[in-house]
Amino acid sequence: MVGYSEVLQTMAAMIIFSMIMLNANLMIQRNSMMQVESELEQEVIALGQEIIDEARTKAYDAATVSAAAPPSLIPGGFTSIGPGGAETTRRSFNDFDDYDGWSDTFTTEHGDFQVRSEVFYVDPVNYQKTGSKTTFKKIVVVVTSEFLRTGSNVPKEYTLEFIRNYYAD
Amino acid sequence: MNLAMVTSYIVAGILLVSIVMVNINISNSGAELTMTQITRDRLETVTTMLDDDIPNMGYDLLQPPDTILTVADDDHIQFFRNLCRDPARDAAFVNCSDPERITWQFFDSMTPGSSKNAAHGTLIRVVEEVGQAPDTTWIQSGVTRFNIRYYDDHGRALDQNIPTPISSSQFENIKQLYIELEVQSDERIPGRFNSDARHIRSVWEKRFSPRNLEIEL
Repeated sequence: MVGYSEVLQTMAAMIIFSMIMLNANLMIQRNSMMQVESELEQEVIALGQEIIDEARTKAYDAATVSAAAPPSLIPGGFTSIGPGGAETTRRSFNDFDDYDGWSDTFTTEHGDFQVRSEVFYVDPVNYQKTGSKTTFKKIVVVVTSEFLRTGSNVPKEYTLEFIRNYYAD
Repeated sequence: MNLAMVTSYIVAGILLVSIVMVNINISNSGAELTMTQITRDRLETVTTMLDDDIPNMGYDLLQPPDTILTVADDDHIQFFRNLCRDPARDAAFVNCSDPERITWQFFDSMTPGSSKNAAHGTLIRVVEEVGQAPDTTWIQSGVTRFNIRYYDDHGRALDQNIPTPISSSQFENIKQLYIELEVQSDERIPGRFNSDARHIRSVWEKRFSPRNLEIEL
């Protein structure tokens, strides 16, 4: 073994060094992932907020569009959730719940984002989804990107919510 | 000196060079992360102001002059707002004093003297209240792009904006605004895989639907 001990020592050093390098690479990769994720998440929030802000500018209900007189029964006089027959695109939406079931793909500087929304009546006591009409509606906007994934490699869903009250409009 | 000795010296040399390279990479990655954070913080400082100004445009619009927007260009916007933040100004809280006039304007050729990035420009925000000197905020923190597009309806495709500059007769048609802001770092970071050094950039884009733009004057 005389003369080969140095070779064995350097081989051992290489193994140790390889492990260090693997960890270092992993750290660099994590840093890069964090940078990309936080940049994209910033866009996710902007897109979700954009839809909520837009929906807030619309009437609370189809029955109150264009500052129409309130229905004689509140909340019984409100319409069912969802867009009317002619309200097929975002441009034609005229009340808050028209955004129920809507979805679209937004192309941005950071790539494509899939956005979808759901609107439903909520119970004024616990703000949970309810089948009956109330003076509270909730919009839930879900944003996903192919670049933002969970540990199990499925697209991560970012959810933004907003509760709207008929009287606090 | 035998062959084994020579071989181990060579391998040790390679190891040393590799250690140096890994160190450089780690330090570059750390620097990149720090610069990204700084760039994003600078971006957020501006977006926080925009997030407050733009959605609140048009309050107190019934006070003269009866207009919300007064300038609408791709790098320049001016509008009235007044949130009556100080109730002492008006106990009734309905007829606030004079509205504030807000101006946002970007000068892409006005690179700050201290900047090492030639793409940096200067963004200004001016708040004007009647009877008081304008309060100007000079934002020279790495803004390289400030672009505004205007839409006459909600949900229009990005490229279906109203051509700028928009004449005052068309101000009432504006329903949505899209703002794109880019901030770049001062310093360059070495590129990976032999690519050129580059500036860290952070981009923010958002479409606003100010509620008061919905009101027919």
